[in-house]
Amino acid sequence: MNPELIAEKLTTKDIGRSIVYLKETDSTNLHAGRMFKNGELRHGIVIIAGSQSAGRGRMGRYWYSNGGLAMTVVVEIPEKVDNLAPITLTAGAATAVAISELTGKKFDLKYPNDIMHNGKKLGGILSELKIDKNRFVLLGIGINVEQESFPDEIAGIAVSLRQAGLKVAVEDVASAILNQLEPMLDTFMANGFAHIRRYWLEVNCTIGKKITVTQPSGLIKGKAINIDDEGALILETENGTQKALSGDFTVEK
Amino acid sequence: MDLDEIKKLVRLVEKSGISELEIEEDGKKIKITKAESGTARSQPVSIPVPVNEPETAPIKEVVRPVAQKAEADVSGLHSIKSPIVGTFYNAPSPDAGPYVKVGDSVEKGQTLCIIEAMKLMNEIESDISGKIVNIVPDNSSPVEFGETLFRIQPS
Repeated sequence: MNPELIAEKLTTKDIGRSIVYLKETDSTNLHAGRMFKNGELRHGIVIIAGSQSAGRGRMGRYWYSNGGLAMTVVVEIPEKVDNLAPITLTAGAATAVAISELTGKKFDLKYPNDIMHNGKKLGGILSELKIDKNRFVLLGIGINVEQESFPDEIAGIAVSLRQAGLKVAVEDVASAILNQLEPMLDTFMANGFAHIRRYWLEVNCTIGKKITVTQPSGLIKGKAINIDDEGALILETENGTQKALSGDFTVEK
Repeated sequence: MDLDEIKKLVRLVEKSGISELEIEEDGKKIKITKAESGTARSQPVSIPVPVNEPETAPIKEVVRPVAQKAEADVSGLHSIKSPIVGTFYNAPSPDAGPYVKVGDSVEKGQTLCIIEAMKLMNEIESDISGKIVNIVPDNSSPVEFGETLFRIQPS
């Protein structure tokens, strides 16, 4: 990993113009959280790890990142943005579009923002909101790039670009995502998710499928029929139309 | 704030060492003063007439004005509110124990819960030190923007 190779290919004005490269860290989101406590976060800072020992997914799950891209993009949210949660869908759409354009292969999105390839997970985005006098979202983006294989527990559900037959440099994946991310984030923050929704829909593999949403309070089962302008997934269930905003979303095969 | 919450607060004042409790939430203010005998009664300080909230009406039925006693310690509970619409989680993962329980002492900066929406995780930290008096939402229930999550007795 050479951060200079990322910087060379950037076409952005803010995103990635300051890169914090960590050869080894626990996780880039944890590192960003420490920078937040120290008042060091600025819009557009990107933290990239050569390797991380404690990569995390949703609800404290382990994220295996050896040979992959692990980066956190710091986004400052202007005061006027009131519904900021769909920034996660926006980041997902940008990432899926970027990797599809870079590789010429189709990668799609499972709600809200898992990057999928033939039903296996290529990447995920764990986002954290940090609030002091400013509001920052930390977009923790993990993409499987150069892994030849995965540990047994996840081998059946994970895929890397290498396994998909694509020899791509981690740096090029990073710059492609950052270049796609900036204009989409600008649109989201200026006009809201309503203006991003169509990009998300173009690259999704969720709508039209039977979905199970697992929440600690129980399951919601139904057919995903749409997402609304606020980013909620709309399901047609036995009990009528329901909206889902959080939980584990499983697509039934 | 509904009738049940007010009843809970009245009981809380009865049991605690505090003589008066004043809470302001969503523009409604309630003050509970403990009479010398040790029983607590609630007294409205000012309840602005809400335009769309008929459910506040029952408050008037429970409220009986009480002669104000001279108060020593005037202490209020501190509310921690949700900064986003989302789902309330009381633990970092399904297998882990809760971040905090009622009665726990917390430090400023300590994580109290997570609010999630669309995989945006927001760890809510306490902005004061004190004791958790009340945890309002049930685990994994939906919360609204500005909804009270915790009430903390400042230390």
